[in-house]
Amino acid sequence: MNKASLNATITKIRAMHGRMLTDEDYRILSSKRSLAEVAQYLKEHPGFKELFADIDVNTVHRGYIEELLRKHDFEIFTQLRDFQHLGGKHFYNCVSERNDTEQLLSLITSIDRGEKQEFINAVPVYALTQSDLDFHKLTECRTIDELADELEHTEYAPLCAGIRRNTSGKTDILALETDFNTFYTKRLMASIKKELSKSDAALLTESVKAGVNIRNFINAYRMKAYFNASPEEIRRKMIPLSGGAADRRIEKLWECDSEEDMLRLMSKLPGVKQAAADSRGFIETAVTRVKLKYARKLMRTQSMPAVYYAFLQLCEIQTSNIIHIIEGIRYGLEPDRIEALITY
Amino acid sequence: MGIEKMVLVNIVGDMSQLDNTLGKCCESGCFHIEPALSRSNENRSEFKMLSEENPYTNTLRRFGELCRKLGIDVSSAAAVKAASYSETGYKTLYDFERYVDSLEREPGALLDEKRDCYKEISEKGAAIKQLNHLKGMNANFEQVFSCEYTHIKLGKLPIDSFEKLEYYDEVFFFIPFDKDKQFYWGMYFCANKDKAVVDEIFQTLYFEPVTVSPYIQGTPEKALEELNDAVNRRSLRVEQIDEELARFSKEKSEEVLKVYAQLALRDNTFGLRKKAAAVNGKFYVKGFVPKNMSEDFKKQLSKLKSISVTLLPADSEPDLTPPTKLKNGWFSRPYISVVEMYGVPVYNGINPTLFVALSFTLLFGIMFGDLGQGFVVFLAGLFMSLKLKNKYGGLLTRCGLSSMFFGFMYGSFFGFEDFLDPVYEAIGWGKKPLEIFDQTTFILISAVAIGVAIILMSMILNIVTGFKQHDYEKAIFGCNGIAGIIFYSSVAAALVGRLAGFSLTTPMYVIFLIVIPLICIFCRVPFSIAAKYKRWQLSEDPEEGGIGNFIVENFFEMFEFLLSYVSNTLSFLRVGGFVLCHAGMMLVVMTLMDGFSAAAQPIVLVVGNAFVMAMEGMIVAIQLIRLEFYEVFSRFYEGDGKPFEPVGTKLVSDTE
Repeated sequence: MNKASLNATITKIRAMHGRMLTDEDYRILSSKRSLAEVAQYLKEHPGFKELFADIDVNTVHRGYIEELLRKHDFEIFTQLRDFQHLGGKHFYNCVSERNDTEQLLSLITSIDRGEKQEFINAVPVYALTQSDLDFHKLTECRTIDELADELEHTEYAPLCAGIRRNTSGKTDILALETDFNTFYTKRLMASIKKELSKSDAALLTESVKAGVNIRNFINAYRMKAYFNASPEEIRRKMIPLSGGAADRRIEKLWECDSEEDMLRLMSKLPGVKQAAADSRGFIETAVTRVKLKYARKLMRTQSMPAVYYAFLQLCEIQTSNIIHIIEGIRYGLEPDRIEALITY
Repeated sequence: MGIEKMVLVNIVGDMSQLDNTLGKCCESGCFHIEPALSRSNENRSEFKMLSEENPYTNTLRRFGELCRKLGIDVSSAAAVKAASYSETGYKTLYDFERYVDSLEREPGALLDEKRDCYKEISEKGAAIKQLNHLKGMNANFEQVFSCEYTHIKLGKLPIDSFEKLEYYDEVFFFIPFDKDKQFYWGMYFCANKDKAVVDEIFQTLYFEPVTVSPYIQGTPEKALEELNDAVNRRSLRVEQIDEELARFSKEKSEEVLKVYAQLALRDNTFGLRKKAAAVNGKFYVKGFVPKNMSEDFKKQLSKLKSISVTLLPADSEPDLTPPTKLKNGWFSRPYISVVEMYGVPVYNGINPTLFVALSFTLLFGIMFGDLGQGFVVFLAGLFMSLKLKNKYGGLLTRCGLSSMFFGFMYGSFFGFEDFLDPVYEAIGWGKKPLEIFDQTTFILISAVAIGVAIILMSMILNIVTGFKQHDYEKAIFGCNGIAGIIFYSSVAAALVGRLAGFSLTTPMYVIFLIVIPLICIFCRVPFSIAAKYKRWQLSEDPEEGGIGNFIVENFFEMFEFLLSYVSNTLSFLRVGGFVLCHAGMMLVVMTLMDGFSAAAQPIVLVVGNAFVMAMEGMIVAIQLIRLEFYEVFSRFYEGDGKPFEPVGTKLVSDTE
């Protein structure tokens, strides 16, 4: 499909983008004092009117609102992907593939803990219908080794060695999380390079790398600030970057002695230095704001894959913001404290 | 027509003067505040950022919520002038709280009654819904709930959760008897001994149990009728209460807005303290001020006791990006909003507003040329800017004038194509300068020629920006750089030559003006690396691909560039297309008008003109924005700048 014909999808995305929550909406939502008020506001908002139409704001469960919002994001992804029949390309299945990765990790963790019920309770059925994996069969596995046997015949086969219990009879869940995330990122980067034009790929590679950097940075900062982790421990938990000069500069962050040093070094790094200068709220939110900025920048381009990817990220940030607001209200935080938690 | 030069201002003073200083900064209307310390500097500096809770915020929010309930639009508080703040006499937070309390008390009974009405409407509405869903259960409630060994719960289950039931091994049944968009309404059964486990499962599946409403009594039909009557009665009462509240609000609104504006001012000024840092009774504030206003600003602040103001060059702090304030003349000023739709230019970039103003006005006039309709657009623009103070008014007046000029050239006046003939004869032209339907080819070729000129101009702007940013790929070797401009203009000149009957394409012309620029574009990355770092490398990332990869990638990229030169140029055909389209649409209106009686003809004329103006005006504006953004801005403009936002000017509207 040529670039011009994909403009229809761009137009559709821009129309959907226009119905997203604005800064003013976030300010109003932060000042609400109950879940019912938030749900009522969303129920009247053009972007959520249809989604919340049948919800009784007085009885609805907080968890159900979160699930609805996530489902909404997933439906947006399938709608856009199927609008011009783009499902044949790996890249346009990125959300579904990421969901598979997350659900597999969750299943492994729950089997490892012997609490498979937890996985079943939380599993998003709407997403599994889009998956190539037979989750119904996978949930019947009683042990991690059984699960690894099942996965041997899927595209996740390269990860099976890590999934199986090691000689001490344990599964290193944290290492596995890094393996899964790295696997997902590498597949995404490979599909971008293989399936998209060079200019589109350049835009998206930058964005994906920025996303990886942000995720790595937040994890590293937390490990350093809350657990005083060593550079080696941090490095093990990071999704490896491609090794270019810019990436090597970012990697120096892991070697910092303290979180203050991390911030100091960060203020010199292009791309994330704004986060160090941002005085609003928490550093995690400030870093996510950089991701938001990238996504907004991509939204302005005429590259359909870039606009598609950016919009999915914006939806994700919006959902995460609403969840933060709901949680803030649940814990009785003041409006300005809630505002500091959200990315806008 | 550039970007305003900025000065970095550092203000240090006694803490006692902080509020006064921030107040002065707000009054100045030219101070763009920045956080006094960046997060990375905070740990190194003795100063600490102030993080006090704003005492005004919650009262302001409460006040805003009350105004919303009373139907008073607080956004109009922005119109309240600072001079009238003092009239209210409210100075402390306590005064404001008391005012809000008293305002809440007066219509309190009405507001309470309205809330009760809504509660009743909501409860009875829910009972109606419930009744409709339960109609599908053809069973006697008492019999169902009196089972001895079976646990039963009635309620609604989200559709996704329903699909999840097959994952569970526990023994239970869920019997749905109705379904809406998101829920299955039904009941689940299990043995009494499994009650705790099954209840927990359904709880995690967001099953909402339904207690049969006490409002549901008697037969379902009778209950429905009674409930509907009650809901209608309460809705009527809500309308009456709204009328009473509207009367109350009308009486109070002027005073309410003044107090609201004053509270908002205090809230905003206090909010700025978050950007200040302090140590040992001293505060530190920094921000940017336009260079030409910096001395006045310093003088104003120096009037305060124990305040020291230092002016520094805008780029003194590498961590801090100076904001961008576009400098524009009277003609281009209204077009700032079009530029800002795309993004603000970076501080050391270029201001494209004048270019946009000229091209937008010119193209609008060409595409929407009609003397009469242009005059209406001009008047609408005047009305919007003078009466409504709308920022798009200025844009419309300029576009209207341009439309009038081209309308005169086309001889079109509200669709009457011969109306202006006597004028042309009177001024000695004899006939209209441009006969649209007779000179179609000329119009289309001119449209493309204008497009070529605009594209060349945007390439020049790209080259200027590239050199400013020391980006040689962009400025020299890129498809919009010097190589691109030489190639594009040479091909355009060769085509013009061919149309005019002479050939420019000599071997030297082809080699130097077409082939060499193409080679430069093909090898733009290695050439720019060579120019910048004095070394030969195919790509920025040395690990990326070899020569084969380089050739294949750049071959396809070249193909894309060449295709885009053609498609972007032909894109301007739409300009000519709209000239024909406008004339065609007005021809339809005139033909329609001829089919009606003499009495109805003026109505058809007015409606037809209004329709064409509204529809075509909008389409032309959209097409122009598209041309500006995709054919022009995409060549040189990066809207990554930070807008100049002086504190104080949006003091009240911030809380709208």
